[in-house]
Amino acid sequence: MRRTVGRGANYLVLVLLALVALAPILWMLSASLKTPGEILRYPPTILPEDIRWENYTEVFTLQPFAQQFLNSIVIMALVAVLTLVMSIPAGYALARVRPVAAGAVFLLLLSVIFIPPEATIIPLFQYAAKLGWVDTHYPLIIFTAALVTAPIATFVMRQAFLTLPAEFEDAASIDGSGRWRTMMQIYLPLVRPSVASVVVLSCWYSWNQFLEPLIYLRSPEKLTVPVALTHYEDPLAGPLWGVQMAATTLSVIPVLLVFFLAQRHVVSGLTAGGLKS
Amino acid sequence: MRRRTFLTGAGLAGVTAGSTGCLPGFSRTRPGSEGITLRMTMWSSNPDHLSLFQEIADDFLAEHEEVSGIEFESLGLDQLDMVLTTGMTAGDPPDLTWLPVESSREYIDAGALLDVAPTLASTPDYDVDDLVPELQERWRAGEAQYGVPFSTGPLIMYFNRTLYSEAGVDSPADLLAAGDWTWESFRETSRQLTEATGLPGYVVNDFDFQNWTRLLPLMEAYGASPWDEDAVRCTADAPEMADALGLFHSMVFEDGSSPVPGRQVDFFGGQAGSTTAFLGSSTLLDGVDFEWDVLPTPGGPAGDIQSVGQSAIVALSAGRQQEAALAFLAHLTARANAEKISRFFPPSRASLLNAEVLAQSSGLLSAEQLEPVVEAISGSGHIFPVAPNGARVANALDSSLDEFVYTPEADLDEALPRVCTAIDPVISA
Amino acid sequence: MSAATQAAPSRPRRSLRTRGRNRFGYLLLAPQMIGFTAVGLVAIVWVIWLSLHDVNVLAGSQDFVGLDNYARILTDPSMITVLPNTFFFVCVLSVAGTVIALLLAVLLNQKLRGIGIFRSIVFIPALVTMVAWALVWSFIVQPEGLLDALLGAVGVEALPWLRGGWLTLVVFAVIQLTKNVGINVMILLGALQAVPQELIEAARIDGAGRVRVLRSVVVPQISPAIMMVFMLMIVGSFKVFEVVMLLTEGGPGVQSSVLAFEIYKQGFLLNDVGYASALAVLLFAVILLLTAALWQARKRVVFHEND
Repeated sequence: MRRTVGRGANYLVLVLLALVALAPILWMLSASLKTPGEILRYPPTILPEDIRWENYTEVFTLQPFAQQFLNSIVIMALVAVLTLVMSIPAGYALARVRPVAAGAVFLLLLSVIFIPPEATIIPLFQYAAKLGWVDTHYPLIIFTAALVTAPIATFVMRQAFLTLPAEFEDAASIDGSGRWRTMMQIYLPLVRPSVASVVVLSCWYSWNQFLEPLIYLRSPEKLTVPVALTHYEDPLAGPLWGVQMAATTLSVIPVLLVFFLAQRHVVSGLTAGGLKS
Repeated sequence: MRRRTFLTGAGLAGVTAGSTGCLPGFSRTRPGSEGITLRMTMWSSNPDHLSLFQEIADDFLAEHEEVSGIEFESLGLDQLDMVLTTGMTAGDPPDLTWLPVESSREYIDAGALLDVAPTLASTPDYDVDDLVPELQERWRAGEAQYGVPFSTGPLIMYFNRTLYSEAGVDSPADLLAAGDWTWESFRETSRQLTEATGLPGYVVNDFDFQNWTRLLPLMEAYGASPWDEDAVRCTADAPEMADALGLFHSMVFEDGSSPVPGRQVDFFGGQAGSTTAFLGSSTLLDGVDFEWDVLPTPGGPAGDIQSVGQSAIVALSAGRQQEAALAFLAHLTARANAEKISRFFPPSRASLLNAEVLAQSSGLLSAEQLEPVVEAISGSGHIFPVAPNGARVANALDSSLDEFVYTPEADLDEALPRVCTAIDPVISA
Repeated sequence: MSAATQAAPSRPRRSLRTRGRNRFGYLLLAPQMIGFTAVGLVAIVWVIWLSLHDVNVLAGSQDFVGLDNYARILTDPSMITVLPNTFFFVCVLSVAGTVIALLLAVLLNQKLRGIGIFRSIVFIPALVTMVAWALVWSFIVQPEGLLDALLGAVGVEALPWLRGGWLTLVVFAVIQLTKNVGINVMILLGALQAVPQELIEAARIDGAGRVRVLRSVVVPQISPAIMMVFMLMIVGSFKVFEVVMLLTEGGPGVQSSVLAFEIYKQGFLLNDVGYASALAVLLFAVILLLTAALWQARKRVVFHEND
């Protein structure tokens, strides 16, 4: 009896939780189909009276949304690649190779992780201006990877490499394998979960960026999704809620799809990376 | 291995795509290889406006061979300062831009605008004397002129005739006819309307409690102003301001006839009895299902003074094609083209400032309705007061009003001096 | 295949190895260090330099003013509100974020039917961009919006959610917490599932109740993960920006503003790059101190730390 009540209470809490997590998304969906007149009505209606599919078409006519979505994806992919290129060798070096001053380098990188983007956006903007990178995607990829995702990734990779036993290295050198090969062929495959972790975190961070695209980018066809979402406004009438919610929905759906398809990988990537701290 | 191959594949795909340059993000789209390209920023994305400006631009291009193209860029008004300053930092600002009068002093004081007076004088068929002097004031300093206004229009009162008649309440037109068109009476009828229909009697358009200039019709009627004539001292704590803001405060928090902060009400969607907005907003009335009309804004103890907003076209001194930019500015605002622009924006030229011209342009408003508008622009209207450090002063004013005045329990005798404490240091900086 | 691995007496081999190792190590570190120097170091030095000047972008001028901008921070009335707000988020988001994530992870660690669905649902807000999340919430929280309607249906009066004071800060915290809790839960869940069952069994046999097991056995076991979540939350709390910008723009006044937003506002909206840079340096200094403190605490708090 007690167990059933306990289980019932459990389910109740879980359902409430699910509601809090899902309610905004469902509300977003509902609002995306409403007419301008209905959207601000009080008390609000849950199911739209007249479904206004035009909200979705207007997403694309008011802004080059498809292009903006593609921009977000490309930037995200490149940030992930650049992060891996920087962090895997660096993590391995700090964990296994340990040249002189590795400790100092590690602490330095650790402190870089905590620098918030707002602290550096002003000088970085001027820097980008001098490089002719304003209104291009270069700062979003290179600055982000170098300053934010790579240091965190190096941290994660270092931890991952550290937890592997050193016997591998000795065994490899007995076999006559060079340093490079030891790293690439023996150690790297063993830390695949952490690599996945790094990819997930880099992609997630880049996808969510708002301040940087806001400052660096200007032309509508170069914007990324987060900034584009805030542009669905009429100069005189304020935010076009219906269209904005439709755009938001469109930006969320592909990510949800990818998540449900690749769920196992994403979850294992996160949990594996986080385990060894 | 599969996962890694996939990731590597995705990464390679991204890299290839990026390096082929087929994506816009990897190149600067500013040409400039052959000839000069001018860029002008504006805060309208209305296709009619854009095609008109493009048409005028094409004329210019035909006459000036050294200029190969003119681009128009639309952005939100709240982004304008940011786009201009970041553009200047990046060494790539627009050559020309629309600029609201509130920013005029700030930009002129900083030397950010080019003096266009010599160019205007030397442009044939410009007709400089046609420019109404009082309306150029904010843009002139001595002999120099730093911009040419292209839109000078008052805030007028729109009201929903249908709603008032349904509620059986005196509409603004009735009050005007009875010679009782004041803010006090308007407050009363708005309250009645709200009681009868549950809808707000009055919503301030484009205000959102973050844009103090939209309260100027009320302030002017009471002779109130946030700062004095020379913009060196805060006068927001004067009794006139207390009266003006007091009335508004009561409408919002006591009568409930105006929406509270955060609540969004759309007059043009039929959700309010009346609103104050610019002339350009009349296009939003196209196709609405209620009867409406326009009036000058109500009078008050200081009289029937209308509040007039203004925007000018300016050439930035940080621009790289200064000569061409100035030439285009002159072309845009020369008499012939000014007439075309007056189809959408009230002009500041004496020859164009009459009700018939304006009526033709607006399409929805008649010459009769526009008579008081013309009167306001050329006669009894005050253009928005302007302070140096425009952006910071506006920010300080909006912030302090939001914090001290726009709250239910605000006591204006206490709150307004605090507003002054907030803006005094910024005005005199 | 390198020839550096022949059997040979120990001493010369070690020095050769050490030198080769150093070279190899620095080579591997090169991309990261180049990135850090070319971007990070330049940024830090530049922002300090900017903070010592009065920069007027419109006029294109940069005048050296020494420590004036810093002095202004001390006398700026806004800082009286902005700094405590920032600390509020740092403390609340890190502590509440970790605790809530932990409780949820424990809740979702049970073997109930369909638990996988609930885990996925909790994770979904993390997939949405912060901007999207903030926009939807701004829509929900506006006067006479969904929240007011729901409360009204239960008979509770609507509150001025976005009109400043602690209420707005709480609203922001809720929005921020619900967004990222999914990721933290996943991390902790993974850690929970890696706790060896024998330890739990042993504690149960010894007569410990569920809560006691949790406190004394499970939590220490997953303390590295908890620390990681805590640090992630702290880093994230300084990045509270989108909610502020999209819901209130720091208003009314600066009641709901945080340091990060003030930097943006001063630097990009009010054309005062010098002052914004000084604020940025302040932010950086605060974070550095916090990091140092945390790193020290880490050694004492975390169990099974293996370096």
